[in-house]
Amino acid sequence: MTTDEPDDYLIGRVQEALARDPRVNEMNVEIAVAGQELFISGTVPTEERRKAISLVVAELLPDRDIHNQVTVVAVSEPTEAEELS
Amino acid sequence: MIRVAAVADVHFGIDSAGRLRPHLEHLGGQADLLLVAGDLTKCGDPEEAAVLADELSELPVPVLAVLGNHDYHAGREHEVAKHLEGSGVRVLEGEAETVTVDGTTVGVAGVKGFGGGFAGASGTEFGEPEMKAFMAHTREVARRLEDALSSLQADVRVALMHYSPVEQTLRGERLEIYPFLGSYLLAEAVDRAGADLALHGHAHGGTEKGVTPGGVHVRNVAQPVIKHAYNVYSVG
Repeated sequence: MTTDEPDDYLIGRVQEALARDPRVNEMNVEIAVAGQELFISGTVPTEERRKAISLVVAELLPDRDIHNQVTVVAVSEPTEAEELS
Repeated sequence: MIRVAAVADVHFGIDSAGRLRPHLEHLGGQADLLLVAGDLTKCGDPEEAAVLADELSELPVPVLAVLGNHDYHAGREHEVAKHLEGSGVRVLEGEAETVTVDGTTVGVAGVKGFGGGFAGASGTEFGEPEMKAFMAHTREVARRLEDALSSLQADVRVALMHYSPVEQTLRGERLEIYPFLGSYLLAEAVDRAGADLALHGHAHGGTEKGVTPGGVHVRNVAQPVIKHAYNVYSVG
């Protein structure tokens, strides 16, 4: 059944799972499908959540090749202020 | 000049301990206050708020915040706010607070905000009850923002919200989701009441700089956008 699922619905299911799953709760990722391959990109705040994305999607779609291209947001101290007039 | 440090969308979880505090070491030398524009937690679990509260405790400057949509997910937003208030963070929802920095008063009015869309492409209070409720909520929080801003007697006034008041700072996001990212009603509230700066988050894929139709500077300080622990804006 799922092998014939249109890509749009598959993307919708992944998006919903990543938003709802408490290991991730992430809505700011892009999902793309090409044949049997599924690509996920975007940023998350921690490495744990980046890894959890792979787990959640693999549980949902065990037969797909999942490419987790998500990166962790790099944070540093600012070096200058912006002056607003 | 008042130096306003601001960040949003830190999305703190149990796994976030130690991600922010090391980068706040020089905050006292760089800014006069720190504003956090919502999505403090991953899913609104009070335990997540406790982790963030630890990181924000005993900072050398006042810290004020609003909640974001993620902070409401667990339905425990009051407990989230309570944890932060326990660490000295003032959490605003339709309220205003004034702090004094070297004789200059800075007033901050804060609301979560909500979606709806922008000029000529906004939802309206028409049709099904769910649609009316959606837009009525936006209109209500915009009214609360306007009232809070108008109540401020301060040298510098800042509007703090999670959702965006303008489209410009959403550029980079998919156009289809703009109505979920903000509303022009928030900008209208800011312009009616007047402010020196409007800060928001929520749009991780957006851009930093914008302006309201009335000429108020808008900055999207979502952490994935600014890529810093916070950005600093000199105002006044």
